[in-house]
Amino acid sequence: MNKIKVVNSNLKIVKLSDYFNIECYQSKSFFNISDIKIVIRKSEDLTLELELNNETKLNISIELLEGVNSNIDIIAKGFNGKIQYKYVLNKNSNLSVTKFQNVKFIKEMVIVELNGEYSNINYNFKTISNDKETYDYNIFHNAKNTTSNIKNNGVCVNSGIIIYQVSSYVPKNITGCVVSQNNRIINLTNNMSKILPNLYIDCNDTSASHSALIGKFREDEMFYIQSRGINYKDALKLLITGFLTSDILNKRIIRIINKNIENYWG
Amino acid sequence: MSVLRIENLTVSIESKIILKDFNLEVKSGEVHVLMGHNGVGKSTLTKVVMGDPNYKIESGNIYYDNILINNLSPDERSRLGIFLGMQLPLEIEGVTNADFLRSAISTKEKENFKLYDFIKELDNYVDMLNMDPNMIHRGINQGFSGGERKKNEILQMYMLKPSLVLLDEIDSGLDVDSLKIVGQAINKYLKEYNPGIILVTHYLKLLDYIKPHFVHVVSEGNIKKTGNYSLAKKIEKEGFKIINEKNVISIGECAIKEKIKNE
Repeated sequence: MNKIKVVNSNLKIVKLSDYFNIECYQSKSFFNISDIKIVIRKSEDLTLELELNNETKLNISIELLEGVNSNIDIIAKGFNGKIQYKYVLNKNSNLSVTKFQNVKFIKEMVIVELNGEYSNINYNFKTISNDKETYDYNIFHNAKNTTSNIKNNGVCVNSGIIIYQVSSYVPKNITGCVVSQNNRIINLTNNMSKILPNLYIDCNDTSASHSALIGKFREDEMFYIQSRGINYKDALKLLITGFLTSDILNKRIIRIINKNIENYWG
Repeated sequence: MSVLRIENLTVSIESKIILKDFNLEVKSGEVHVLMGHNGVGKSTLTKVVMGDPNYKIESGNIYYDNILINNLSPDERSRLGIFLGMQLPLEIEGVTNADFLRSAISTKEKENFKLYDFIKELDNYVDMLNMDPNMIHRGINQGFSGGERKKNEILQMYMLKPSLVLLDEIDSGLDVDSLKIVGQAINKYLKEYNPGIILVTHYLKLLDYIKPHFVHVVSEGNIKKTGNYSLAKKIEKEGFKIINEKNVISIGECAIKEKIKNE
């Protein structure tokens, strides 16, 4: 399995096949940002592990060349980071991103450029928020017949606040696109979380949908589970586990999520 | 012997009184059927006994095995042996039936829980109820038909082995074959484990498989008439207008007669 680790802005290649081009450099600008550029030339999967420390600033760019299918798993932990991810997809490429992070205070920007016809991204992100987390997504459908499915699930605990701003763009004459956003936050705090879903669609021939939900688990769900002898705490744990793991296939990520759930609600 | 005793129970939801001075006693091995128009409080009773937080007990008491359960949480009531098979079992995304049941059984059995025995028993009951084995690995009731959901409730009953079973319209949404399977499964459970049962139903078909000891007609939040199976047959034939007739003994008379008999 191809694997890259980024610890405190330093890149460590654990294992990487020849089908990946990778460049990393430290920006000399005032902002001191580390840039990592990955090009995937043939269909292979990749795991990206991030350990953030105070003031980590990263620019991660991942490009899929024509016809490449790839699953990328991203696991992040630590605190205080500013990260920009940029995914560039060329013709007939398919990218599936599964991401989990348990990070304290993070600002993230995600840019998706669907540049080639029939390119497709499935983005599945889960987080447990302990502090303020801001996510700003910009998905550009730059070519016809492109598809984006963006799914964000987050659980707020303690001082957790999540802000999802998700903007999808389909310009004029870019026909046959499918745009989907599904953002859900389970807020177990009294803090104010936000979801700002934006669909900027300038083409009539587009299938676009979005759903946004912020709230707690439903009382009748808790009652149903408790009525089978499961106490409130374990019922909550069961619902959170379902919320964060139900649509993830990668067993390692499920194990990591379960471990984090155990830390909070075990 | 386990006994559910409901004394002068008045219950409201959003300030509206649903049950008013409701009295009922259910002992192990007894099957009580609640019948009545929609909205008279039958389902409310089952939910209140199970501890649904949406309902407020204004006055009166519920005892199970001489323990006052008014203020117990639903899980505490479940651990006392109370089970509610719901009218509209919820669909809960993401939580698989298997994980749900494993959590429930391991909570109940604690250190005696054995995974192999659990799986074996689960497979056995899935087979008995003619359920698709793959359903166990799907989200709770996710994508289940009405009938499959009801079977899933009976499956949970078998796994949890309660001593008091409340079944709220367990027969609704079942086709003829499924009704037979569910009816026979409840009857088998009654014979094997001797629980007290409260059945809420609108139809007599289920009673072909489970013979009730008492049939109660509920109206305006309490029991207006009590009889046996023949009362249910009469209701089916003549409707609920029989509430006003005086040839059926009331629950109070029934209790007095039983007391005299015991003395």
